[in-house]
Amino acid sequence: MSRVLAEKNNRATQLKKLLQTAQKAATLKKSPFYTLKASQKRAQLTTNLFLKAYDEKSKVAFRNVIMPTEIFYAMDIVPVCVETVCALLANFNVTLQCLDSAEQNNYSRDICSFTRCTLGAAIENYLPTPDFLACTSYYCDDSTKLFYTLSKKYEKDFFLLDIPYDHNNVNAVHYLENQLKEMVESIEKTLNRKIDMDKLSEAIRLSNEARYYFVKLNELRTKIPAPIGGGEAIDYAAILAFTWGSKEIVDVYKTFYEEVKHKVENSDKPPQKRKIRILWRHLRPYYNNSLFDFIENECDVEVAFEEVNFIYWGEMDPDEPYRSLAKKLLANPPVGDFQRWIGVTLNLIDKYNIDGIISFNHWGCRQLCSGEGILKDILNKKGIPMIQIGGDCIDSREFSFAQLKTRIQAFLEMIKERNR
Amino acid sequence: MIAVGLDIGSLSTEAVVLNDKNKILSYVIELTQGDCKNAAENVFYESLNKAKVSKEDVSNIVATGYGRDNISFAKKTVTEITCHALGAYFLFPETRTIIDIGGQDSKGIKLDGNGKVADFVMNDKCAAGTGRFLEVIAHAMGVKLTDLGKLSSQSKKLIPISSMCTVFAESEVVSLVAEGSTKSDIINGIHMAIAERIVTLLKRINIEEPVVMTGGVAKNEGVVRALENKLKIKINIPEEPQMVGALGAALIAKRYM
Amino acid sequence: MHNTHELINSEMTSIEQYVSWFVQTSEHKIKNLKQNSKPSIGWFSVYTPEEIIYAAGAVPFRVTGESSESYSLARVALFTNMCSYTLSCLEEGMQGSYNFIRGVVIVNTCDARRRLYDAWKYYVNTPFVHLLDLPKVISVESKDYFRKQIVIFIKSFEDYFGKKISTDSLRETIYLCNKTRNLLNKLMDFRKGDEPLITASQSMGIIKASMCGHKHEFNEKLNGLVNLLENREISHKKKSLKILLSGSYFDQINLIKLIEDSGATVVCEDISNGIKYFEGEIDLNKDPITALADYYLEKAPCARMIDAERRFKHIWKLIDQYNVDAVIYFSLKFCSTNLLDFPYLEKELKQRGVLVLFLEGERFLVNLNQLKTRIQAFIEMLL
Repeated sequence: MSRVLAEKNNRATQLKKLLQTAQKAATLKKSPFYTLKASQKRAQLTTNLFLKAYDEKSKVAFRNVIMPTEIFYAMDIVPVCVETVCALLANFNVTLQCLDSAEQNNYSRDICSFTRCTLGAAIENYLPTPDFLACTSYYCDDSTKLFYTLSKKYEKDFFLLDIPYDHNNVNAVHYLENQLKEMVESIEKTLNRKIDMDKLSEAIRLSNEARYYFVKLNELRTKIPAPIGGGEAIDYAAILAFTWGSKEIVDVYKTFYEEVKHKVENSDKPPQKRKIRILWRHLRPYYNNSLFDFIENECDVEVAFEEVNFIYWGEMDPDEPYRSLAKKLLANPPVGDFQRWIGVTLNLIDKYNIDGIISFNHWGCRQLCSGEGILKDILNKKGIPMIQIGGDCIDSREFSFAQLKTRIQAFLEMIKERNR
Repeated sequence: MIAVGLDIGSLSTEAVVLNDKNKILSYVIELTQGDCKNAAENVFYESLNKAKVSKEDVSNIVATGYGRDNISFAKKTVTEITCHALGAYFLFPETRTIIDIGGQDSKGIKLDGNGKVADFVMNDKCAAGTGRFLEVIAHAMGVKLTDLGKLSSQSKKLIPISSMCTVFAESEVVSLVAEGSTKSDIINGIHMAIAERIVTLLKRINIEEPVVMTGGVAKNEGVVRALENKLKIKINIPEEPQMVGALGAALIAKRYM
Repeated sequence: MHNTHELINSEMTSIEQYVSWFVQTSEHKIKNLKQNSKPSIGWFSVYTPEEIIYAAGAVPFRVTGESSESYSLARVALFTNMCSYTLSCLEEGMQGSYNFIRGVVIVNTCDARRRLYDAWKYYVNTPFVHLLDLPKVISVESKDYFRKQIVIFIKSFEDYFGKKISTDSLRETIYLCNKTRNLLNKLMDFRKGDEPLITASQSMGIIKASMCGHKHEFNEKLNGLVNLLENREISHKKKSLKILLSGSYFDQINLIKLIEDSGATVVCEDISNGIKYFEGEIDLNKDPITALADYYLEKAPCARMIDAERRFKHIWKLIDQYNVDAVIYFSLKFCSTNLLDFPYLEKELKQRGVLVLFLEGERFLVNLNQLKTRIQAFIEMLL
């Protein structure tokens, strides 16, 4: 980092700084409106965990979106998901300042804004100083480079989990499994504490339990009409969550499942007309915006399911935690051949009775967007329409709602006309 | 039973009046001049006048275009994509691809065998490839926008314009003028550049004939020729390319009467 | 203004002849490959073990994308906001430029190449398409993993071409490719003195030619040139400003000429069309597969390797070896790895008194005029 910060790496100072800036901000971001208790619980949990990371006594690990967290909970470490923390930071209204900070320090605007925002937040010293950093080689180069840079900035150890490309490769599981063990050894040395294997088994069990409820919930969402809106469900972004392995998330997902089940069982009037059902790809803008409200309410369609909530891994074996986690990592659709991911998308289209796909093309997210040419071609041949709407999840300056509205409306009109 | 379609664009606003036998009774084109509501009202009443019908005869009004959401007297709003598709298909049955180049944006619309929209692409982030680009260039060269087509047809030498950006293209044009290149040659180069941009956009929807071009820039024979040469196809141009959106809106209005 | 092109007059023709041969080799790459009876295999990354391709009885050549006219097909297949080197290569593939080749090898170096593999398989009709996975870290574990990937790579060649690749044949091809490395390293030595004996443009032309297959012939010719240069007296003219070029894929001679016309000398290119291709050599004392795995994994660091510090140390070593005054850092637009390394590298270099000029461009430098101003201003600042 070009600017040498005089401030100490003191977490209390860092939190104070963040809150001070948030208070100074003219308009505070509106919290998303959640209808379900589970969603409110989840939001509370993630915020609490985030704030816990500022406690001097906490051991904090920075992790990326698919780094397994079961190990951290087993070792009593608070995981901070360094990319999606930007979504949280959006609540504190500091994202633009962080983005500017990154740009002033020579980070190009073509770099993913999750990466840039986090770099900026680190430069501005808003983030709690980590004890350890751990990241995987997927999903993308921006993310892995981000971790390297942060580890240099905070002068803390960084572990890169190198995920093999081919999940079918006979060497793949073994290579990953060994790396996971190596990572644990590295954490043990850094924190001067040993992992309790019973606790790790327990974390795997809890992860399985949470998964069980989420999978059942996903089944319920195949019902027509959709029992819950995509606008609410997308914030679960289950596959990216940093709560897998914690006790609290089991209750959240269980509540989620039960609430939706209750809705389905007690839905009184039958639907008058089947609404258009959309599959959502990628994430959403995290600053103030009415994108989902516009799509689901004004345009009157249902976002029936989101790819970020698709549970792609099977139940793990608590007696083989490292091997199970390795398999979970390899089962991740964006890892490896893009055709596998396309297969997942096609399955979801069938399962959820999808009429069309909306893909939110986050600026700088090359790994996701660059495969979509092929996806679109395959979908075209099957007569399934897809639209890519360009925008930015973090940088509100790149969001032009008027332009998006027209595209989305035209897309939906196109589907309606076809179905006539 | 009269249907009226309104297309409120950022630069111009149009109205089309249709009777129940699908005959176009009238159309009006005016500059928006920053006031959508006013422009919409003006073209609405003027078109009724021209059609010699009264407001009471109007059964339905549909609005499209950038300013469609602000028109209180329109019963329904539909996007320009759907409207251009319907309008072009009405004028040229069997149409498969529509190229719409307006003042501020450009679009490609792909239709299936039944005239329904199958795919579309839009460029509304960048001025290059839109009418704005031509305006800037015409101004830099001191010629009238409406003369661009004719001037380019007199071109004798091909001058490639390499700049992708309107601002850079403008400075490139200025240097070419200073170097002594003829206006015709430069304008022709500019037309080729626009065609290049449009074709890049269109490649994403697999161009199929017959192709129709709509929007103000369709009146520029130089751009049309450049596109025809690049795509190696013939392009159909409506008599009044700027009213196709409003026509589509009128057709939808008629559908819901 | 110091002119690096002035060489001893009486021998100028010979060097020019050699250079001309190399340039022609590059220009006629496709033609020569088509005329060769052996099957052609295209590669993109300098992390590709060409030795294995040679041992399979095929001719490896680098896909450069230079004959693509635009990226209109590739843009639709992939994405507009993407590495333009990758787009240009895919464009060539989709244009049909490689209808005659038998296969391509794509190394999993970065997001762009990963998607190139997906797109190439889907859109281009090449019979054999292999993805070679490359770890992002260097460790005992990763070396072992990479070694296993090389074994898989060899096996897939054996399966496709129906011919076993023996250890001996690997030793032979390693020896062949090492010869190329040694000669190119020697060539670079001639650029280290106060007065480089060949120019950057000439050097780049020669390096490019080394990637067109036909290493036997190439080695022979380069050997001749090296002998010629060895007998040259080194001129002790006034030392000009020495520049190191580092960054993404780069092959635009016009930019090199621009730098040299502005009063500086480019003495070393830390790019894939430069020393990254041939620095060091493969250790023949090890078993060939281990030797290959170790060499390629530990190669001159590219931005795609996570360890930016290691990359910095390597650049620093080059600055010392070539007596470099300043660095020009070229990043392709959207090249995340190079864009993210830049702030760190710039800071480290600046702290040690070496200034860095950041240039961004596409694979074909349409923005040359903009770059010209930056380069000239930078050099004026340093002179």
